[in-house]
Amino acid sequence: MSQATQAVLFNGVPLLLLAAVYAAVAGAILPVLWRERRRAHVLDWAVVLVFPGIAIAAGIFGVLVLQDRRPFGGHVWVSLAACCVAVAPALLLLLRRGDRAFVAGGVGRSIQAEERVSMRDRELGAVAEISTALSRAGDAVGAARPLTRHVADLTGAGFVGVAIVTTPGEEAAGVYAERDGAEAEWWADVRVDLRNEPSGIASAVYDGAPVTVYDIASSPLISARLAKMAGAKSGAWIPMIAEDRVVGVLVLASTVEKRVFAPEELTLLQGIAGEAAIALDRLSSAAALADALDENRRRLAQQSALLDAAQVVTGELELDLVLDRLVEEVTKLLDADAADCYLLDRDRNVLRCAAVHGLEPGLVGLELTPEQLAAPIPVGAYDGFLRALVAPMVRGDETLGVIGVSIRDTSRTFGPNDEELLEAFASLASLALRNAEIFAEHTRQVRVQRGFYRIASLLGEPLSLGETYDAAALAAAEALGGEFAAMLAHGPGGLSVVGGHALPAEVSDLPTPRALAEAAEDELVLAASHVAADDRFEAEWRRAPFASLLAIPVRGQAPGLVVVFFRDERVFSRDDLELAQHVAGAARGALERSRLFEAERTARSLSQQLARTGSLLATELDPVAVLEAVVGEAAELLGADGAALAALEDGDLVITAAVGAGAEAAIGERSPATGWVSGDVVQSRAPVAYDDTTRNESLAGADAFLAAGHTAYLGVPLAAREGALHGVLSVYSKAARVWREEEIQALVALAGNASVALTNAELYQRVAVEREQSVAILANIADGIVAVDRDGHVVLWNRAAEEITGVPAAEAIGRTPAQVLQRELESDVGSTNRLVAISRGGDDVWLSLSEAVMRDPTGAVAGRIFAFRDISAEHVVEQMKSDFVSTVSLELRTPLTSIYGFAQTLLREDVAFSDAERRTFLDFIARESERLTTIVDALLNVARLDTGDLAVSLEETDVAAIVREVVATAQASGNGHRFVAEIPADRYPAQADPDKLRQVLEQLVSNAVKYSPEGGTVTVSAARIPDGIEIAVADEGVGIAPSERDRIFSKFYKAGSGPGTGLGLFIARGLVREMGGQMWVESEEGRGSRFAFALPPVEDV
Amino acid sequence: MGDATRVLVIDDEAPIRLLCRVNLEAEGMEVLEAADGPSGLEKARAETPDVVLLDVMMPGLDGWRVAEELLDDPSTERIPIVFLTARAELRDRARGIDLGGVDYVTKPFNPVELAPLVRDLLDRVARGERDALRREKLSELRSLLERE
Repeated sequence: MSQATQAVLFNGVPLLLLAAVYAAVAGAILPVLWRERRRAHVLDWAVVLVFPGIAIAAGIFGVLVLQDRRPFGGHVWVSLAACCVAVAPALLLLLRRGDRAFVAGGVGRSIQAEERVSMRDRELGAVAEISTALSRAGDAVGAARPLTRHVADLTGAGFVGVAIVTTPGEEAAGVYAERDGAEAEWWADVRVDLRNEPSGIASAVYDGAPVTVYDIASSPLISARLAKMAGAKSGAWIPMIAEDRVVGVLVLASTVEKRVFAPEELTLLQGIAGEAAIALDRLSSAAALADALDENRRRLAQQSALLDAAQVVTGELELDLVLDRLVEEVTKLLDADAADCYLLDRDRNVLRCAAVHGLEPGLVGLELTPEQLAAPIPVGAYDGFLRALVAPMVRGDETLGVIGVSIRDTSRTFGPNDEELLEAFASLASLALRNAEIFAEHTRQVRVQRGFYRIASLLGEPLSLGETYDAAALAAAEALGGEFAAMLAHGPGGLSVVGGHALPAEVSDLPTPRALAEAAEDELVLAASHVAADDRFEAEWRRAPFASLLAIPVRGQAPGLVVVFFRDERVFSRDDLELAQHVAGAARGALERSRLFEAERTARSLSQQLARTGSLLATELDPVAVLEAVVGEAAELLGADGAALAALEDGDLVITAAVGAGAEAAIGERSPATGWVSGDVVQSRAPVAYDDTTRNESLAGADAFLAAGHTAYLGVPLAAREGALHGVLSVYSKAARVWREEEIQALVALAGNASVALTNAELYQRVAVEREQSVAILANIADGIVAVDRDGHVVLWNRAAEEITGVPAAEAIGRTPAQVLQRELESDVGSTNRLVAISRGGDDVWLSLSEAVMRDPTGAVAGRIFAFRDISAEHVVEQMKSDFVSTVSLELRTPLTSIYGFAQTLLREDVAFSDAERRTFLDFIARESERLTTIVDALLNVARLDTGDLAVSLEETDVAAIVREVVATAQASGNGHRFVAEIPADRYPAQADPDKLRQVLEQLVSNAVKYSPEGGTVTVSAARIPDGIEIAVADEGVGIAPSERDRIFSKFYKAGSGPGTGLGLFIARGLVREMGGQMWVESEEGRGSRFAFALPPVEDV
Repeated sequence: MGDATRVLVIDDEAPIRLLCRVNLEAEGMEVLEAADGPSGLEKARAETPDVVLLDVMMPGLDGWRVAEELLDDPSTERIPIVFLTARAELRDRARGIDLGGVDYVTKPFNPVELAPLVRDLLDRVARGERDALRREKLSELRSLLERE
């Protein structure tokens, strides 16, 4: 091969191929880069343009080799190797065509990625800076300032501001904002109503999520006024959330043109806002805490100063000292130069100066009217003071006065704290003043009380009246310095000595002078300094061993007199008389108390006795015993010597019970109701008391007891039922005695008890009688009577009820009827005459039941009474009658069906019956007619048996012949049974009606066949018995249950539901009875029955 | 005549069985007889008649029980039952229809009318109106009861 050929083959062609491959690569990559040209970097173009460059260069060299036919560069094989090496990168690119975009935009993308990384770096840097700035911030503005600046830098927003939520859910306030790098001062005054004003801030607060608005001008959600002030076009509001609370909002707005806030931006801002929220939250908590601490510290200082002052002031109790301390302490407390205190004289309506400090002492006592107060104070002492602070001292609604402080110092002013402090001190002062007042009042009272303590202690102890009298005398003697004293009181015999202290007998025995009685009556103090020469007193008194006396009346329910005696003459001062009055007052109190105590004690003992009596009487149920108990208790109750009970009978008083002297003679005595002393009680219907009947001549011997020597009388009316008068209860005492009110009341109460007891006893007697009557009636009544209580338990079960139900009363009482009878008797409707079935020993018993409900006064059910009678017999008969109607109808219908049917058949014209057939039909008609007749006959027989019209013609009849005849007939009917006649003798003559006898036997045989459906032997026998002939029909059939044996002879009774009228046995027995005989049955269930009857023998045989 | 209607009469009264026989046969029907419940049941099962005339009041097994057994037995349940009853109470008749009977005839009855009744009844049953028939009878009885 020539060199030219080699050059063309191994240099020219490979170079052209190389150019083609590079051109292909350029063709694949260039369009891709063109599409991405916006993001492509200039280096991307440089890289890509290498490929067409190489293609063009290789193409030129290839053409040149072909033209020159010379190896490229003169070395065929070196050039070929270079071509081969040069084609490799392009081939690799062609193989990986899918990834050509990497080549096309690789540089651009790597630059973008770098940019993004540096952006993140900047953002993170900004966030870190913000965090640092926030952590350093000392207040909200300090925190907001770096925040807004950094956010503005980061986002390029023209306006950035921070608002915080001041009142959660209601208001937010601007803190700090910047616009175009300068502080927007108006923002600090911005307040946003979160509830009522639409705004981006409110939306962010409520959503708790960033809110962005592209076109603020057209958004209804944005506050127009804020948008205008900020010059906002688009905006974003980022909530600052700390611990799930929105504490503020970061506001961003573009001020130049509308823009979109990208999600990454919002995410970043949310992060920043979160940081800021925590810082703001921390700042606000710290600020609040500092404020509170300051306030507390201030208050603590005030409180402790006040407390010190209070301790000083309240340490005093004397009013003057307290006032001095007040002004002193208030001066110190308020760091003033002087202080004064004025007290209000309420009655005169003036303020009086009570204490001063740092002022002229002469001011104390100065009085100022309200008018003077209004003008500058007209006193020179206050000259030179620049400022004053005054506070009222108030307790409750009452103003006690004022307290004030003054200062000369020009540099010092009074602030709100001073006012507060002075007010607190003023109220403290009013308390101290009140304490001082109470102390003063208390001191005065103690002085007075001490004076009376001795009297009170003397009189306070004794409780009995006698002891109190003595104590009063002692107290009076001691108080007035007397030697001895007497206590006089009104008794049955007028004013007399009832107690005393060291009273000599010679004095106590003296009769009471008129002067003392008058003093007691007029309640006037009587003072006698010189008794011996005092003509108000009788001679005995003038000679008595005392020179002076003072008589002090003691008022009260039972007025009396305390008389204090003095051995030496004594002139009584006004103080003595006053003290005497006090003694009298104290004595009166003690006496009243003592009297009440005595009365109470008596009343208690009486009522105890009465209660005992009451319970004694309440348990007595015999009226006579009650009367005796009453008089015994009456005498004992009042400690009387006798007692009597006079009953009012037909207008007369009759002594029905009595105790004491003359009692036996008195019982049974009778007097008109107006007679005796008791007559007065009847007339007045009120207690009548005589302390001493001997004083009244008309009463001497007015009744048996008075005649027997009794003197004092007390009678009270004894009530009977419904306001009537039962009689008079009287007590008698041998000695005269005063009937005290409580004793009279006690006897009245006893009479009340007695009357209740008597009424009870009488009622009980009557009830007992009535009860016995009721029991007798209930026991003998034929109807069952059952009573149940409200709980439904049986309380009454009479004899008839026992018989009807078969349950003894002892078993039924206390249980419910349902338990006893296995069924309820009660009905919801409470109807009368219901039909109720109960079970008695396995049998149904039908009751006709009436029911009555007893109600208590409130209308609630208190019990029920059931009355019932056994109507089982009637019920069964009713049932039988009803069955009979249907049975008879059935029995009559069966033959009628045949008769009517065959007649209709014979009347058919469409069928020609043969003579034999006609004959059969007519036979049936005849036979069934006969059957009909038999049934009608049976019914007739029953009617006759019922009315007694059945006539039997008795004659001597051979029973044996009739038995044979009946058996033969039965055998002839041939219905599968075996019939046997057992007739030992030839003849059995009896007195009978042969037709009726035959009828009876046929009935019995027919029954025997009917009730032995399985067949078997029917034996008819006749036998001589002592008083006649016994005829029996025995079968081997079903037999009869014991419970049915009595009923099978009843009219209409049918065993089972088979055909038959239920009259057969009834008629048979009736016929036998008519013939003078008896019929009975022996049976064993499942084994057969034997019906037998006896007929009387022929008399002359 | 192989397709003659076959009627089974169950009644303990021989005259009544004869009455039915004579009058039904006169109309070309075939009559089977039974004198009590058990033999009636046996015949019904053996012969499968077209209709059963059933007396109610029979000793031993009564008509109600026979009807119940016939209706319980799949081989006889389709046979229509007409009760022959002497019981006048409406309640008894209602009981028969209630049990499953299609009609009732009250004694005494006109035997000449039996065949038309059976024929008519079988026609309606053949038309599938068995239940409609029973409903008619029941409502007829109900209105009678209400009138009572």
